[in-house]
Amino acid sequence: MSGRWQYELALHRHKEAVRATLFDLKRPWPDALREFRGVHRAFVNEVTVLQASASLDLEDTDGSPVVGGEPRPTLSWLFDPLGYIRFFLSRRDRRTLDLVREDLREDLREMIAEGRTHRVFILLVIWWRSLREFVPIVWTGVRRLLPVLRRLWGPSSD
Amino acid sequence: MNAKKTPSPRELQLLALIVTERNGREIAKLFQKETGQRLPYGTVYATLKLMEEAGWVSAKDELRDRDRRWVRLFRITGAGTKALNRGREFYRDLADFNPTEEEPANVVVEGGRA
Repeated sequence: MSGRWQYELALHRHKEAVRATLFDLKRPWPDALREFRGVHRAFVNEVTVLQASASLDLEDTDGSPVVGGEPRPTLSWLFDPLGYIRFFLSRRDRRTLDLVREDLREDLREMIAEGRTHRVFILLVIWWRSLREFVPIVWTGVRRLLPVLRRLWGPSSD
Repeated sequence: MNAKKTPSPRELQLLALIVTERNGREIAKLFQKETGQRLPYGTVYATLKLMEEAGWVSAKDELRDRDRRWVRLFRITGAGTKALNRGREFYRDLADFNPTEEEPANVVVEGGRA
C-alpha cells in the first residue's frame, strides 16, 4: 500500500473518530475529549512515521491539514497572509486559494529577481496583493450562499 | 451555473484566452497584455471554477518540469466553444442594435410626461 493510501486511510479513521467522540452529543464531554486526544495522538504519530519513511509527500495534496491542530503564525506565515485563512475555507476553496498563493509567490520571486521592488517594501507588497486576491475568493463564497439566504429570508410565496 | 446561459463579458474574455491550454497565471498575464487591465488571480480562478462547473472549461493538474511545481491547466471544452460563439453573437447583436431612425415624435408615457 502506498504512503498516500495509508495517509488517506488514517485520515478517514481520524474523521470517523472525531464523529464518534466530539460530535457524539450523548457522551459526557470530558470522556469524549479524553478519547479524542488519544485517537488524535495516534493519527499524528502515524502520519509522522509515514513522512519519516518518505513514502508520503504531502506537497502535492489538496492541502488537508497534515497533523491537525491550530495554524500558528510564524515568520513564514507573515510572508504568506493568505495562509491564515485557508483553514477556515472549504476543501474546494482551499485548492483555489493554494493556486493563488503559488502564483503570488512566483510573482514575488520574479519581482525580486528583476529588482522591481525594494526588499524593504516586500512585506507591504505581499500584504497588499494578498488582500486584493482575497476579495474575489470571498465574493465567490458569498455568491454561492446568496440563493440559500434568499430562500431563507426572501419574501414568502403565501 | 447554467451551461446554456450567455457568458458574461469577463467569462467571454477568459474563454477566448483558454483556447490553448494555459494556467491561471499565464491567463492573468495574457489578459493584462491584451486589455491593459490587471485581473487578480483570485478572480481568474474563481471564474474558471464556475465555468468548470458549467462544463465550459476542463482543468487538469500537471507537474511542471521547469520548477517541479504543480500547476492547474485550463482548456475550453466543446460546450465552452459553443458558449463562446453564443456570447460573441449576442454581444455583436447588442453592438449592432440600432433603434429606428425615425423616433416617434410625441410618445405619451403613462404618468403624463412625454
